[in-house]
Amino acid sequence: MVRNIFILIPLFYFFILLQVSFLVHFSLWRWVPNLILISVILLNIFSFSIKLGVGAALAGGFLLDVFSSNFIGFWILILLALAFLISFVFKKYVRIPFVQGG
Amino acid sequence: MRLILNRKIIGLILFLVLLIVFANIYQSQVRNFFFLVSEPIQKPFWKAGQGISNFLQAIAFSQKNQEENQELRLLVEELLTKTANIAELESENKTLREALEIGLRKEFSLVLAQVTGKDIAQDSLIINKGAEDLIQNNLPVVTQQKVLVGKITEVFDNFSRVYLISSENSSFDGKILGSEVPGLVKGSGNLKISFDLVPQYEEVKEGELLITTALGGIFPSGLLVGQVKSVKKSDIEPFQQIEIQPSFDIKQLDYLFIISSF
Repeated sequence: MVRNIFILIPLFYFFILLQVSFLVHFSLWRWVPNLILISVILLNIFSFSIKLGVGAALAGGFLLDVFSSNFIGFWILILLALAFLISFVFKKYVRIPFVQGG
Repeated sequence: MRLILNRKIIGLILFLVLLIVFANIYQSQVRNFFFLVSEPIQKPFWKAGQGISNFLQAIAFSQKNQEENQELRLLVEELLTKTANIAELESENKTLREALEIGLRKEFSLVLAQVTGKDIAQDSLIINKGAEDLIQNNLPVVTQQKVLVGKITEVFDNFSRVYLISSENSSFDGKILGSEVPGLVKGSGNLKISFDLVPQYEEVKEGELLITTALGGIFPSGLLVGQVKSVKKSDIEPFQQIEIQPSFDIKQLDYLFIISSF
């Protein structure tokens, strides 16, 4: 699990740089895809590991906060809430047959 | 088992609170560190993005460009005639100034900066000049053509954050060029600007240019803000609703100038 998070940090760092320096040139109606938000959601849906989900939300949220103009903690709290919500919903109400876990 | 779980949750919350508190106390240093480390990686990303974006735009608008080219050629001819007239007036002006011993108007002190990041949702930019380059809060930022872009709102050691004039936090005094109609230029977010507090009886036409005035002391006078995009008059409103098209293109912003004194 810890190893997975250490793989995610450089990946998220790459995503945030891509987002603020590369993808801003291709914004559609002033919308730029938030790669970290998408990654954290997908990771929480498919990993079924709350620890990994929370770790990803912490790392991703921190990087998003550093590169945005909001106070530090804004994205951390949003992504953490999202991670817990997805984990709760999937644990209680959803079963995906081809994904192990739960 | 439940005790261990509770301890872990309490530990996580404590860690989180401490992380957020300390990161916000030292946010200037934290952000500056990340910007400094990321700059060498961001630069090639930025150039690649700009290159590909320009290439795609060139393909998409090649036909439109041909028509525009024709119109622009006519415009260039017209402007050349005007430039010749201006050159004549300049020379006359210079002679008169010398005669009156006024001296030339003091030029702005400019600091060149490169854009290293954009936060489109917040109408803000990151530029690569900061406190070490003697940059301070509230300094105006303009383009090469001296079109007003925004002002410095946050200064880190090597970087600064610029809030665009379209940001919701931005408001300053402006006037219509020529007719001298004064008003308040307000950012509405999403790259939109409005020209407020213009009474209904004032005549403002679409296409007219909006410039800054020195009234608020925030910006020097005479900087180009934008062009009047639409004017809405209503009998029940005390003021006109005027929408302004900014004169800068956020996608083309690469190098900017900070006016360090005016």
